[in-house]
Amino acid sequence: MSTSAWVMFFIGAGGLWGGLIFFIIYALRSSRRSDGSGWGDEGG
Amino acid sequence: MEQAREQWGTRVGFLLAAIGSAIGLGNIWRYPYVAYENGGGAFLIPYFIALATAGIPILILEYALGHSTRGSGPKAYRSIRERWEWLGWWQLAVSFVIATYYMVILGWALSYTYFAIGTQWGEDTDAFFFESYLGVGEEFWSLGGIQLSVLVPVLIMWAAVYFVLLRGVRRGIELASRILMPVLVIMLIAIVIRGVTLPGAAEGLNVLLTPDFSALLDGTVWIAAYGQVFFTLSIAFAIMIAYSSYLPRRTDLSNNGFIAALSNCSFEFLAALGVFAVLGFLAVQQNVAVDEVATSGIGLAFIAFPSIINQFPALNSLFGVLFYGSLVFAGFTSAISILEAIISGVRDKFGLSRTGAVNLVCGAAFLVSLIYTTGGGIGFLDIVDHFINNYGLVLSGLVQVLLVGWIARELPRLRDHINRVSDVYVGAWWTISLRFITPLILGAATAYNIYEELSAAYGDYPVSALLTLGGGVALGAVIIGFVLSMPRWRGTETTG
Repeated sequence: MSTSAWVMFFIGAGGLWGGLIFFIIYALRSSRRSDGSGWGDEGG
Repeated sequence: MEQAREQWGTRVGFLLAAIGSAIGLGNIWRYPYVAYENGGGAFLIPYFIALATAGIPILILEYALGHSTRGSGPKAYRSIRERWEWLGWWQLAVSFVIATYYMVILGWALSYTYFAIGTQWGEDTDAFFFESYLGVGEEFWSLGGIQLSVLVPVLIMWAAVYFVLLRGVRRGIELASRILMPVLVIMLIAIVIRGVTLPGAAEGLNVLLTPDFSALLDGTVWIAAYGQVFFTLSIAFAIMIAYSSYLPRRTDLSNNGFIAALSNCSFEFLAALGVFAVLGFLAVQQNVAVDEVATSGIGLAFIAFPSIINQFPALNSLFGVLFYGSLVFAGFTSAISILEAIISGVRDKFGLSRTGAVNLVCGAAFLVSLIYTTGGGIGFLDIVDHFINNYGLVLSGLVQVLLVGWIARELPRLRDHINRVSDVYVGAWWTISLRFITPLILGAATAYNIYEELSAAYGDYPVSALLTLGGGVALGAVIIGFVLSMPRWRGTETTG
């Protein structure tokens, strides 16, 4: 693959997958902080 | 006495159902081609901007509408302004139309999962699909009767969807999503790994990812980016309004929006790598440029991919089953969500039991879907799909943001609601996106669609078909929206 293609690959993967991991970690940390419950028992 | 509203069992369950709704056939067969056609790697720039200024804001808006009113589309809009209930029914009418042909495409994918075993489609994949499988005739209006080979898989898919919906939110939709979504991701990763290790994969990935920054000066590229984000996130179907109405009172709406949107987009970015790696392989095998084999939609899935699978060096059947199985799984969770949005609306308004509403909605949608199982069905499907997306979804999405942002001026109240229950704070960018950027882009997209329509008739279809099936169905959805808003509200009242 060309260098510019690699650069765009890392921008896409970093932006999307990196962003997703960031928000999942944020959600895990904030749910623990707020009420001690994990992801499994926040619902009904 | 007011019946307690159904509720998701867990946050993960809701997220997987919401992601399952967003991830559909378009993630696999639409995004890769749209990205390739609109600047390759450079497309990521308008795509990210569209995601931040339209996709995620509208998604969070729909979560807030459903969660704050604890109701489906019609109930949510009715709670904002009573006379705007019709907008909810319009969106559900659009969803109904889409569900009827979406289920038939799922039936095709199920058939091809079976045909992949031993590559039963033979060498001429075009003739196999149109003539042997679909039984397409010469004349547009000659339906040619129901094709049993299409009807049987469609019936199987309807039975599976009906079973899941009948079991309800927690034991049906949530359970199905918990099982299917992880399996789907594993299948896609297997497809991508196989794809990128094929000879010629780098050629395909180069075409997909090499940026053409001059494309960013073209307005249509930006409209394509906003359109892709709009279609891929299941926006304006009123699905997310219904799904978020099943959330508990305390829930992180905004972060759920970020996670669902980014999961969906991560999935389609990964799918694009797999699709273009495999197209690169095909181009090398045929000794042509990737541009000559790049395609999308039905042509990609049911004509190009069988050809590619035929030429695989090994394990052809396994790859075929993985690819078509992933289409079935991706589409299944989306189909469930489209139908659940309608079921939720019918239950809210008419006070029906789940069984009654599922029977009514699935029964009616099944009967309509039979028309697409005929020999002439694919022509009908193509026209209806084009018009209902461009003039149903996009237009109702535009009306939705105009209503909330300008007519009812509900954004400050909804923002307060989001920030009261969420951990991730929603700031001015959300309001600005929804009040200014989204209406502007959706308005431009609608104007562009109309311009295109008037410049050249869609496809090679007779004008009578475009007017009756295309224009008729798109207009019919609006009329049905008004008609269904007229009867007296018999279910649980609005809370807004």
